[in-house]
Amino acid sequence: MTQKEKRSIVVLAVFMAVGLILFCVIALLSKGGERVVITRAGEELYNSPLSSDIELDYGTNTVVIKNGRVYVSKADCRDKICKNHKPISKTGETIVCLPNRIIVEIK
Amino acid sequence: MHNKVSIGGMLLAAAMIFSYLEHIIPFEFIAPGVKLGLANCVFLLSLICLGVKTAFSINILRILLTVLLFGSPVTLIFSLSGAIFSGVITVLLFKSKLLSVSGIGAVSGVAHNLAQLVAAMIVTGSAGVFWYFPVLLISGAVCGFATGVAADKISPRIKKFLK
Repeated sequence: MTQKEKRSIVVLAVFMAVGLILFCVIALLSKGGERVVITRAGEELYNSPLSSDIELDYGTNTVVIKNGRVYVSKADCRDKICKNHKPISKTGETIVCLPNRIIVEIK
Repeated sequence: MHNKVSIGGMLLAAAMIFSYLEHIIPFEFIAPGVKLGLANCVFLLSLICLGVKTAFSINILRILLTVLLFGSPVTLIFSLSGAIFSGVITVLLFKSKLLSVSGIGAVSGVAHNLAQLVAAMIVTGSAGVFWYFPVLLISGAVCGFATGVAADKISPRIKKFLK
């Protein structure tokens, strides 16, 4: 194995190690969220406690808040990244629908 | 000269097919932005066999055409920022001869994801997107490494056509 190849493997190993460490740190530090804030194109549509269960239909996207978790149940965008996203519940977590410029954030 | 143009065209077509494949087989359920990075493989191949300018031309053309065919204009900013940032780093690493192609691939994968995270932060105005950095760091590095290995194995065969 050449020097270049050895260095490449080290680089890969370092990336993976750093990623794993960061992942554990973030997982340990994250707190349960308190409020859900939904904005469209920067304009605030919804800002209430995470504890209130509700289904919000905004035409292009439908956001569901239930049992302390938030997810997108319906979306008319092309890639549906927002809909396939795992439900969020911790402070700082977000679900974004870029084409419809909708951001669901837990604060 | 003729061969360079036809190989370039072939690589562009391959890049577009890869983009389409990644579009229909999404890995995004793991985290937004997780992908195989097959287009990065084409960029590496173009760089090794055809040179810097051609590699960038193919990559940018691929992005423009892909957005026209099956993307939304929003994704254009993301694709371009990822491609240009990681492209520049890839070329610098390539010229420096510090790493083998697989290592260069790993770094470009991470650079691409990092650029997209920053673009997402600017567009959404929220730093919350960096939650995904650990996952994108690992997936970018692993997939980038794999594409690098692939490019390394394929490039000799393409170079034969260019002799």
